[in-house]
Amino acid sequence: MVVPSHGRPLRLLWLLNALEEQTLSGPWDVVVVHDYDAGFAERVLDRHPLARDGRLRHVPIPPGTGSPARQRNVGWRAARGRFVAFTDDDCRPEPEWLDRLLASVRDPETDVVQGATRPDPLEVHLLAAPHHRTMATEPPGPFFQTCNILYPRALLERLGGFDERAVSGEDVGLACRARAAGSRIVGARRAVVNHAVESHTLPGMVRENLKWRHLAYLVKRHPEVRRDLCLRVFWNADHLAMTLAVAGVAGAARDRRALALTAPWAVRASRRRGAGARARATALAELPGQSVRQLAEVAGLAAGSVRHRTLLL
Amino acid sequence: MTRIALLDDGDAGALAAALRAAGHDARVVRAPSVEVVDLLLARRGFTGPLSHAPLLAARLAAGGFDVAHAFTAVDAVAAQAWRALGGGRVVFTCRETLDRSSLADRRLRLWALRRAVERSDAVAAASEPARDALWRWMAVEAPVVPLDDARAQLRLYGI
Repeated sequence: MVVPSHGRPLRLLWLLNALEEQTLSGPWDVVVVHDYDAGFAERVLDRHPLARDGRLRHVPIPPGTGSPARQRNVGWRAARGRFVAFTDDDCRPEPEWLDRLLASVRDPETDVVQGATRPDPLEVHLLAAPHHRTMATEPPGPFFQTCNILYPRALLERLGGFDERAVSGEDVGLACRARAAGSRIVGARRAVVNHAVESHTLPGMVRENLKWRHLAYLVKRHPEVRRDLCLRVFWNADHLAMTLAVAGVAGAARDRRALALTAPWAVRASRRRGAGARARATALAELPGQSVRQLAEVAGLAAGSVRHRTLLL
Repeated sequence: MTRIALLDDGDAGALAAALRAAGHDARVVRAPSVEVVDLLLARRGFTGPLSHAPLLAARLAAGGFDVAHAFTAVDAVAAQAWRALGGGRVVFTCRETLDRSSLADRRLRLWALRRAVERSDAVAAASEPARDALWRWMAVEAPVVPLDDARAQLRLYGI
């Protein structure tokens, strides 16, 4: 198992504590690739029960030199198993996670197994925050996030691992290359990873989402990803609605009827918290912040589109 | 004589009496919660109670204390606000036995816990299970200082 970690030492500790409960009876170990100081590594990682059992190894890298792709490459190359399961330091796998991932493998040379990821039930109250980050996937696909996926080591070697030029979306890129090489991507819905729910301030959320501007690189390298986009251009329906709304506001100076283009965005935004008067009131109160966040996301993707010369909004 | 504020959420009265018997001016300091505010905050996913924290910091500032001893993470954060305004030493004793289900279950919960253990001048655990849980979940090595041991508490206060 491989875990890249940066800036989240406590979450990493919680992940390791959760891994103690894995029910897999066969041999397994975890490789953590991190940029924490030696003091933390000695005090926390070396003394962790998994390390005492010989199941935890950690590979330090100099601070500021890591990226998810690079750290995962370092990790799987240091791993000893025939299969490499990936998860993230802000996740909490269920005890049967590894068991169920492995049980879904039919062809040990080529099968990639993707498990289900859901917002951590222990943290769902944080979904009430106006700006929160979490993850939910129902496998298989479409984006094959590395918070819950298993690759045969032989396949990783054949593919050369993750593309380290990709700042984000490196996991999607690897899955695209695996499929192109003939791999089957199997969904393992009962192999569950719980993903942290973290609330952010608006500036924090905007900063956090800035990394997605590099997704244009992914789309440029793997145009087949466009099949899963909204109208093959927009990352999601919210971005389409926001782009229309911006066009509507910009066009209103010439013709007020252009304001009608803001309607899809207004409808989506007002339903963001669900139906009912209270949900609508909450959505309305959050509208300014959500607008800023979405606008920043679309602007970031537009900047990435210019940089990588392919349109993704 | 040191002026000690015990930020009580329940049973610090005995410790206050023991500290007074040891010759210090120890007082239990409480601030009332505004229930409707806490209810609204809880509905928005916040940890609680929170609404008493500003008044608690104000009472500490008005009390002229040398040490504030908190027993909850939120009270420790309030005491740290008092310290930032020119107050004295902040001591946090973790009475609860932390577990995974309560570490980040609410907004500001983890933030308050981290500030309490990372920014207090001294951190202790009230029992061995509380100490073990602090290590397991927060990677904090804290001594066990029983609440009925006034002399040990005075050492935490730097006295």
